Amino acid sequence: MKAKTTPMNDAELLAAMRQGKAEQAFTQLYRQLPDVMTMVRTHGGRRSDAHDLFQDALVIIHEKAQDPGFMFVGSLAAYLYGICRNLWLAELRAKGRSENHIADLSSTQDDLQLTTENESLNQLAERAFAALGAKCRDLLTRFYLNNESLAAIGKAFGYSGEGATKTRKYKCLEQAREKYRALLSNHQTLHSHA
Amino acid sequence: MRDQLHLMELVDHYLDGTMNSTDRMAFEDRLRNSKELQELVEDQQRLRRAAQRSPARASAKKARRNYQLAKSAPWLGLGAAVLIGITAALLLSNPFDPSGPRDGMVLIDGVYQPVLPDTTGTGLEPFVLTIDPEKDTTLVTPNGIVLDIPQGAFVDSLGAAITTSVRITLLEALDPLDIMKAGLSTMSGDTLLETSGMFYLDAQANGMKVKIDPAKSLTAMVPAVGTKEDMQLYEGVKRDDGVIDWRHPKPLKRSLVPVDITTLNFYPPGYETKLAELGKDVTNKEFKDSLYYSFCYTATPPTESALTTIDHEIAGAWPTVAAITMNPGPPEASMDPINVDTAIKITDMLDDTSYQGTGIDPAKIKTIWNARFNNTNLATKEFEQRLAYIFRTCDNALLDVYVNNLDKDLYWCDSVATLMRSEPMSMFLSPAYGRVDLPKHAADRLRTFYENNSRAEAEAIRKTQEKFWNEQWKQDVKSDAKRADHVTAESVREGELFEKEFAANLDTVYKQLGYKRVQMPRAAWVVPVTSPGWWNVDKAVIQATTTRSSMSYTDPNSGKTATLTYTPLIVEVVDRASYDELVVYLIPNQLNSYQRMKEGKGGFTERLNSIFTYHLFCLAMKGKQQFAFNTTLNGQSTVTASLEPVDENALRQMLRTKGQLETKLLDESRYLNWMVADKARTQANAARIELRQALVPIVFPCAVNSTVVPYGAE
Repeated sequence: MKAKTTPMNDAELLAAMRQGKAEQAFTQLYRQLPDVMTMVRTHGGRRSDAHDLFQDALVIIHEKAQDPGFMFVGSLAAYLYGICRNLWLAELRAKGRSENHIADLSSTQDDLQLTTENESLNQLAERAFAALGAKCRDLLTRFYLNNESLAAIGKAFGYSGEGATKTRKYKCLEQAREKYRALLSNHQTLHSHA
Repeated sequence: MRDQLHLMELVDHYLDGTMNSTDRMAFEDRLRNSKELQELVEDQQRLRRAAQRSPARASAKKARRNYQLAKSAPWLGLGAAVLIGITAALLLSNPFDPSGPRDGMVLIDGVYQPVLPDTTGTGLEPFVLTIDPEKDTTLVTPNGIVLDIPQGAFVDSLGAAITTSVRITLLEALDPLDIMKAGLSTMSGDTLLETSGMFYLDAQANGMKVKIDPAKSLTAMVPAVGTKEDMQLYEGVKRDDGVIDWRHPKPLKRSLVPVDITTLNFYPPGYETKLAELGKDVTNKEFKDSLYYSFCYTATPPTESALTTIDHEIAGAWPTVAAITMNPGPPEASMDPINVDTAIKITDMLDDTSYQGTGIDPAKIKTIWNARFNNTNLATKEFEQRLAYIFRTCDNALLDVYVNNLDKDLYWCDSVATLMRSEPMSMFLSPAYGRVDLPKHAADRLRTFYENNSRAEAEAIRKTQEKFWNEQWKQDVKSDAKRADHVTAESVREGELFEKEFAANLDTVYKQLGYKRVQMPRAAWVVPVTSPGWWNVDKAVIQATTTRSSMSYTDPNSGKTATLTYTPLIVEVVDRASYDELVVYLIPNQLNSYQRMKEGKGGFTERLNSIFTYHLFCLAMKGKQQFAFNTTLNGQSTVTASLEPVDENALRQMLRTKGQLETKLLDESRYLNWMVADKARTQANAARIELRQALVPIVFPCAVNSTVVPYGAE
């Protein structure tokens, strides 16, 4: 049996997220799930809603953590909880759910509202991205996350030149955008009927 | 297309902050005034962010798994069985709620009941429902347990089927927390079970406990995290110490009956209907298959083939878009616009990313629609039904779930599929189906076959396609060259013929005027002419020859008159419309050359020079059959030509007297033959492309107006 490791403090959690050890950090942060679960379930949500929300919040925190100037008030756990609450609030509003829940959850923390604003659109973009073929996903991740050069990527994919690599990249991006636009119009239709 | 890609590149520069200040200001100016550009920038920003987020998303999923694993059994090694507890508590009570059961899905209303002795202290709310045991009933509980109760499932203590209404009481504890809170154990004897949830079932009729007919067992489907295997149904038996011991594990299933897989229909919905609409032979499976499979796409990186070369030359490589060159290809080959279009179409068609994710990969279907998969879950009507819906989702991962888990129950796959895409897959959750029994090693073997083969199939189909279209492209280039050569040869020949006729006309006129004609160099028409008389004569003759009209010239010195006479000829070909190609040649016997007659509305026309005798030669193609007509003209103004089928020997006979012309005219006949075949080839290619384009919305339903997008399966 592996010895129990000491939990990371907030600074270590952020460092882990910056150093590509997100899984470890997330696993620890998952200890906050029961609180989020209670919040969601007492405000008109289901267990699965809480799970989804929590995943989204982790991704947002991870993104925030990449910014060296990232500041938050209180603990990372509280920040995470705050994000979840705002996400759930946005979800309730979008679905036109009970005002009581909304009033109850409404946050005064502007910073968090900004953080989670338009998050539903970001998630649509993520879904559009996830719907791409593996090759396109890989290609775009190398460009936008790893900042690899055209030449290096072209070589890795066996393309004949930078022109070809560039074409592939933008074709992939365009495909993603088409999917995103389709999801978006679907999303808007749903919400206009909600 | 290229503009759009270029614009996206600019947006990237803008977002990266790598634009110089002039460009940036210009861009921002444009941005302020264009809503479309604003949308593009916003979309691109989100998509870039999505790309950056994807590894974090994957980590979050892994973390969730880690967390659940640690939570459900922190002290337990892996490999524990999954438990679904069922306890048939048989208690005395009065029938409850006579309203109620109906066929199909029934959502149970939460009805609070006094806690039954067995469940005392669990704190779980029981759900109660009364059903008609003489009908099939499927229940879905608020937490998503699907319970299928076949007609006649309940029997009394003597084994006789219950006919009066049966009261069902259900308690659910699906979350480990609920299980703990309810104080339920997860022990089976000395073994600790990893639980996927428990439920408690009580069934009574007329206040008496009822039994379940062993031949008609109930089927329960408990929502499960997709990766758990070997779900079993345990019966909870209360021990003397009050703790429930889970015993008698049983697999949950309803059997599947395999049929011959080739009798099933694995085409995308609407495929055959569309083919029938297009007038294709839908009874020909070989044709339907090969056409459908030709749509496959592949995820392998493109190779350095000729087609990938065009792809990058045409669409990519801005700002230095070079002339389109092919590799390999004849160095002199320049593409005409038609060929560029075709090449783009073909490239699009073969582009392995263009349809990816917009439909189920036909290569995958090709792999599974194969006798190897007989006697598996796939060779069932039930799978056929699911596949029709999988096609509509365009989600290849859904198909993979079914194919990669042949050793699991179909409802296991259904529940994973539902997690991935509850719409429409949740409709298959009920009734829950088992599997076609298959030894594990066979399932493994088939899975490997599927994984390797669908890739290999895709690659093979792609290569075949690529080879075919490559070959077609080469032929297009050659055929363009051949046509161009023929046109050149024809104009050269006509030019020579003109010169010959002009010379002959001059001879005739000079003779009539009594002049001696000096052979003039070709350039004589442009050098200063010293003799006005000759010049006038020459001018009149050249005009007559050019316009092919009669002339009369009287020499002012001698008073002699010379004439040239051109008389019109009309050739009508019997059944003109029935020929695919038709050419009519006039052969002036004295000139050792021939000219092609022009076709007008009423037939072929030309004016004949009276100083020559002419021969008329018609050549036509109807399909692959060649037809010809041959006659000597004797001053008729109209000829009706009735062509006869000929082979090369007959043609040779016909042209034997034509000396050197024989070879040339035989060449013409071969050219015509080739042209008809080549036309048929290009038309067939166009039809192929057209047919494929008509089928794209069926085979790749998400390619246009996509609203169903797969989201990464958990």
